[in-house]
Amino acid sequence: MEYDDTVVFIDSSVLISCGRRQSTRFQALAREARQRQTVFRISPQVYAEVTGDRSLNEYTTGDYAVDEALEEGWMKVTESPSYSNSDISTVMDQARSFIASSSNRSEDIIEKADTEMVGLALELLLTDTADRVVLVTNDIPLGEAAESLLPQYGFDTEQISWLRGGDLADELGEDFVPEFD
Amino acid sequence: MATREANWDTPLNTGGEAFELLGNARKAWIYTYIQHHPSTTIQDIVETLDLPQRTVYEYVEDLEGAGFVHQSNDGRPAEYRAHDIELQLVDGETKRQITPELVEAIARRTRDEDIDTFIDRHGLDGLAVALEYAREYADGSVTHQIMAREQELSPLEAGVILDALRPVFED
Repeated sequence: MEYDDTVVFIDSSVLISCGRRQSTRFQALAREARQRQTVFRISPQVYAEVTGDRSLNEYTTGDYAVDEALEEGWMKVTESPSYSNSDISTVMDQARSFIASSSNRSEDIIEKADTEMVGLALELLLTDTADRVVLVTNDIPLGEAAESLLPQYGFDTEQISWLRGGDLADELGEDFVPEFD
Repeated sequence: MATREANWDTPLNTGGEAFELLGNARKAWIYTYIQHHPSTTIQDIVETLDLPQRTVYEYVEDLEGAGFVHQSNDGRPAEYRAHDIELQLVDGETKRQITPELVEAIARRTRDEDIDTFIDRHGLDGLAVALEYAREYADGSVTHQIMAREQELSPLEAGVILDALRPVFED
């Protein structure tokens, strides 16, 4: 694998949000990738989630925009995390417990696959494929899980950060109905 | 009735106007706009909502009659402020609340097609449930996948409605 200084993961919650305002929000994402001279990563699970349900075309969500981004080359789908590596498998289980606890739910309602991004982030750091990882998600418990758990594997807190979509690019945080802002 | 003038400030009369708000997105929009912009005038509303002045006058009068807004100055043009709406509805095991947040969610359907679609698919009760998740989502105590599994929606649909409703709680 190629070495990258910083790798940015985009979560399904953010891609769904971008799909709702395809023209402006996806353009903003593309611009951020260009400015950071990076290719955003999405996990196979995220890709399946945002493109899997085409029966929901009543909504404005632009699932094809993700495929366009992949074709244009500023986003790519990663491999699945190496579940066989015990650190990676463990951090994903820990993320599951973390999310269950912050949402005051039973762990049964959270699937290990929901935490793929955390496993992938750890894998990049462990294999020295990246020096720093950024996780972009609007699912706050997931972002907090990453930020709290990953440093426990021997990394500095500066090497791991999570952002909401609106922190990555202003357009992603704008309200659809500015009159109520 | 002993009194000559009916007292309209009673739960069932207020409730009637609250139900009217649930079914009238433009009236809900006016209430929400006044709530977000204290000291709003009719002219402000006419300009931002692009509705006939006559309709705005009529709707504001209805809202004032139900006690949901009141005139906040003595002079002209009249300025309006909103009061919180808090009504509880119990139907057997099911409890619903009519709140300013629910009214705002309905108002948003006029500008956000995804909320409109969600209401068409799941009704106002579905919207009220989604709004509770949106509150938790904004607080950071739920993910869209959890909502999807608990409500038997696809994660995509849960993500769409949470993204659409999140701003209601993010002021």
